[in-house]
Amino acid sequence: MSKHTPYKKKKLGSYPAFTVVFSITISLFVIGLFAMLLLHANKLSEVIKENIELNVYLKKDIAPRQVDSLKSVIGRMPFVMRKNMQPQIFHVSKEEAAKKFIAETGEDFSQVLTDNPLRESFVVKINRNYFEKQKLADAAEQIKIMQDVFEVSYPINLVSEINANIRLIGLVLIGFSLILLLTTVLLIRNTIKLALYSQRFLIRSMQLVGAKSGFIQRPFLWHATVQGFFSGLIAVILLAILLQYAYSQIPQLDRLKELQKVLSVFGILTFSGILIGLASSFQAVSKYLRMSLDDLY
Amino acid sequence: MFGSSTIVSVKKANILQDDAVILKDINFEIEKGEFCYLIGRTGSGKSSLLKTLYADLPFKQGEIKVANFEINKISRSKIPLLRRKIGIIFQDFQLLNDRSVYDNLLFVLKATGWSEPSKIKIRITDVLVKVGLSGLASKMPHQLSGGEQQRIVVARALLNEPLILLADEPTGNLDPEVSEDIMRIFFEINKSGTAVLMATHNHQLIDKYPSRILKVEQGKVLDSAKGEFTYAKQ
Repeated sequence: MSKHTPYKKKKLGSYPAFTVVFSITISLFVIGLFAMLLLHANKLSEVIKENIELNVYLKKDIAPRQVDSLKSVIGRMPFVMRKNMQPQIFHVSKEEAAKKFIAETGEDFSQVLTDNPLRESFVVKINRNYFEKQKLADAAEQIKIMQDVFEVSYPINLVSEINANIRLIGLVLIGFSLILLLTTVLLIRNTIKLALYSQRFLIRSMQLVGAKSGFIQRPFLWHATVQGFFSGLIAVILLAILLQYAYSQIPQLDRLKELQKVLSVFGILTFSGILIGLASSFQAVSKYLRMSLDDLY
Repeated sequence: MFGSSTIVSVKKANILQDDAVILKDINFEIEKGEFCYLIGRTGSGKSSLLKTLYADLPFKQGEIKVANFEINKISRSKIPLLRRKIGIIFQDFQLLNDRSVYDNLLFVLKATGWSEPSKIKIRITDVLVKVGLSGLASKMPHQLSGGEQQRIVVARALLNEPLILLADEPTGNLDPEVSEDIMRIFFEINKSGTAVLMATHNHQLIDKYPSRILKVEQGKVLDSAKGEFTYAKQ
């Protein structure tokens, strides 16, 4: 076809493809940014939950055999987190506890006291299903009544606080993303509708020379698909660059990295670019196809 | 009554625009190969009548048959098929301004199911030769004069060998010489068996090339062939 058109396309009144791609890209980018935020916040709460632990202090002067049997008894409890089938329960000897104490406080009590006043303990990691104030209290109680157990402690205030905050932040984030999603869809729809508005008389002329609706629609839908795809692609590239930058600037963020989920968000983003573009242009062209001449003016 | 040679048949039809009846109880027929003028004052309803014939205005009261399509019953999806049987020449051209003359014609052929490139090329060359514009295929519509654009529209109308040409003031904006050119093309097309219904204000042309006349007047259509009025030369 192009060999018959050595002249450049008329600029005025032609389909503003660049504007459309730009708008869709921006919209998808913002949505993607929000999705990344949600993803990382979610992972953060998981990391926090995984790090909640019970400290089980043992009575003094217990035989190592008893310590081992106690460890395996606690290990069988349902609230203990398991990794690769292994219960996450660790023994901390008096000496290790002393070392840790000295490292944390900077006070070397061994110079004052002849005896190590600290107790042997277990650090028990908790299954995240038990990450609730009451359930944790029950779990602690179950351990506490065992023989040889002196005391069970856990950061009770931290638990309820984190729980409340996660719920609140999650609700706010999801609420915002729903509003954002709606705004984005409307924005893209409007952009495409406006872009196609410039084509309404062209569409009418096509109808008048006997072209069927489907035939008229096809190129518009194809354009929208291509534009949606490229918008999605550009948005994804921008997001990837931003994410990479964030990881390089904030090393701790690396712990929250979930490549697979990020990649699927990228895929969904590109796909929704295509889908929203396609649906919007279908809607707009159908509308102009149904309009009478008087309504077009 | 409705023989295979009747292209347009209008019976007891009321033509409406926005619920207002502008032509009441009109009756006429156009046979294959006929040449027919449609005259009347501006705003008398000529264009509305033509638009009704190619199903661009909703039509419910009465009976109209065009190229075997019943306009009063036609469904939206059948309208393109009707328009392929009739060549329409618009006063405002209705060319696709975003593409070249060649691509304008190509669009129509593709839209009407042509797929073989060699046949398409031959057909486009044919119609352009017929209107005498074979050198302008690569131009954009806005680079052409009014007369040239109108001839492109005629070429486009001829692509699918229509049974009838409906022309709405095809010489409306053109100077007398170009008008004559267009008329000559029309007559040539008409000679090959295509009926023509042409709305016009140009009485010189009617004087020069007399033929059957339908006159739209005070909500009626008068037919010179039935002796309902006689046309006075001006």
